[in-house]
Amino acid sequence: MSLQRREFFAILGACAASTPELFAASPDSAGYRPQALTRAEYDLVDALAEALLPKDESGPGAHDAHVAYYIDVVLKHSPAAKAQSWKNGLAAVETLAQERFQRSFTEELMAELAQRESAPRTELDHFFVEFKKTAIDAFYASALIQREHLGYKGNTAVMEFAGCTHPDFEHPGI
Amino acid sequence: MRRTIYDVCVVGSGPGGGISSYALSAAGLKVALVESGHWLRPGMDYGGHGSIYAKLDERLAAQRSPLLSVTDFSDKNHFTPVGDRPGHGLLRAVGGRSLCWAGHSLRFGPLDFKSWPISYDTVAPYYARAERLMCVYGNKDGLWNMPDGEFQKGVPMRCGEHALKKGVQRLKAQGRKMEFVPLRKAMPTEFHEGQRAKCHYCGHCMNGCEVDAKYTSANTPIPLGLKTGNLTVLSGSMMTRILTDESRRRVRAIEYVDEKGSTTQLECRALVLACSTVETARHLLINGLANSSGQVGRNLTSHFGLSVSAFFPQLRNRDASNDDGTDYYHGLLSGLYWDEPSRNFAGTYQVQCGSGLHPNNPRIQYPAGFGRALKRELREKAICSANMNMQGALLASAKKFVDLDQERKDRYGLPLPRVHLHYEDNDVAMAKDMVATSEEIIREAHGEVLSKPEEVTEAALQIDYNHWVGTVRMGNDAKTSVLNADGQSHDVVNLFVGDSSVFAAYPEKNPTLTNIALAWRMSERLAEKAKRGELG
Repeated sequence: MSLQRREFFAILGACAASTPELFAASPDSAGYRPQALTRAEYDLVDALAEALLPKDESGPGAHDAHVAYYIDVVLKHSPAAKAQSWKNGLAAVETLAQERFQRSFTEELMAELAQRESAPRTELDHFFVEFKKTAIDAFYASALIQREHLGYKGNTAVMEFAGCTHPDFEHPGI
Repeated sequence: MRRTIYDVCVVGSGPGGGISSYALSAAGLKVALVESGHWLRPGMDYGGHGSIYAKLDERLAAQRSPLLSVTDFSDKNHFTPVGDRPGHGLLRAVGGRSLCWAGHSLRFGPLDFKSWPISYDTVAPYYARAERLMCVYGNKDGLWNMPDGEFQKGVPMRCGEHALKKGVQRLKAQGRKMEFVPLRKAMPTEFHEGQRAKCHYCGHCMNGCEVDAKYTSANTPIPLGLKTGNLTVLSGSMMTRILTDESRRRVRAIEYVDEKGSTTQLECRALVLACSTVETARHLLINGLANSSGQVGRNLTSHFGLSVSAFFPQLRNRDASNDDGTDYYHGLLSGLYWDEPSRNFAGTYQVQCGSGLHPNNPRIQYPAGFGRALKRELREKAICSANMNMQGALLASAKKFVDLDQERKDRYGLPLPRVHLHYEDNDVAMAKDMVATSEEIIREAHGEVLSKPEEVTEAALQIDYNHWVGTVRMGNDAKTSVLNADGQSHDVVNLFVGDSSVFAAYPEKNPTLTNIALAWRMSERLAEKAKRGELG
């Protein structure tokens, strides 16, 4: 199954928040065995995603949302070439980290990667753009993020739909 | 062997076929409804609640979207596209595409019927009847070319729609002709005995309503038809042939293949084709029927469009709320170019508007940066943005039509249809106007344009494959149309058509309500003619 950008949208178009029970059934990243990525690649995705979308006072981050799990499963069901291009991209991130920062991953590396996102030139730049979009899609699809970061109160049955309750639109009617 | 002769055979159980099977059986006729798909179970075969993560692996392995959706049952390869690809859209199931529609129910107005053989006043009583049966909600807006109907109470708009409405009001104050009204949809908002479940505003309408609140053929007219005792539903049955008498002016039977592969002949006194705009034309072409005008398959058109989105900084302090409602769009920009046609293009468009946090339709933005700032930005954009989605009719022309693909056959050995669609200058000009108008409205609403096509070219447009109409159009002249004003073939006296292929012209408004009203009217005419012995 080809999962290009369009498909990601199609998937997200069908997405909804989960009930807490359903969410509890989703895998724990620590116990999950990656299927498309190696453990090292998976951990790098997890770390990169968390640096992109960190846990902070506004709510949980990419690690808690299981973004790496989402990406691994999507890659598992993508054409082999796509999974390979992600592996190449992750290897390039790793190399850059070692060469420039002498460490496997740092905040500075994220800043470096994000620097050219509006005008990507190298393969690594393009990989980062794709990584970021996919991670945001996965983040947004998480029921935990919808509820605790975005403040979403939907995906439930209500007797009446309240509509706009903003003070600037007092008694707006329908 | 027992021989059953039905009064009417209805082929296809979507919006038109569903209502026809009910109206005809209620009129006392023995009806067989032939549908290639099967009955689906709401909440089991489709439904939108759930978590994208919960069954991600299993669903992707099955090449499905992560959540249960009625589109799991759509036929993705039922025609050959020629030109601008319109996607796919045939849902083979009892209820057809009425299972996956958004429920938008807008009456066509007097202007829209101008080049039809019937007027708005002729169709109005059928609109009223359809609205009551479908439980259409709406607001009495008093618009002359999108007349009010028999509505249940309306559903409130969200903040983004209200912001856009303010922009429209400011432009109207400057003399511009446009309206911004709440949308009207076919789902109950009030409790009434004997009616479908009331809507619970979860927003998953397009995935298929799991409690059957949204109107479908499968949950309203077909069960009502079955109650009369006059309706037989033959699901899993694909019509493969239409048989006529020697004169070719009268249908005597159809042939269908059931799921076991057995072929059966079903004799009937009249035939209603309601297989969809593309499929009805295809069957007529395959059988060489009703085409003395040469117009079968011609005059194809559909809706097309593009989107512009807005960010409203004034909504930053609003509470995160439940924005689900009745799917994404709650507001409608309408009334453009009704009073005075555009100088740049023929026809007009409407703009469906939705806003707010709506994971079912996330409209994700990808702001620059990373870390806390990115998270903050993502949240703001999710809560404070609105989307404006244009819907206009492609200009009908000789370049748009359906014919047969002699190279590709279906599993029954029948040629698949080819769908020829090409954008033309008129379509691009209309889309440019929409982008400019939307930008003006957003500015007047004190918002910022968040996204728009970099350049409005054919590549930026998208054809709505659920909305195509017009391949078997009605008209008074048998030389230029396939059907008369009653939806009856000019050539074959007992052949009628009940889907949107009958449309004589196409406005900006969604087709389903009009399809249902016309199919209801056609069915009554058919029943009257049958009783008078006029069908041969």
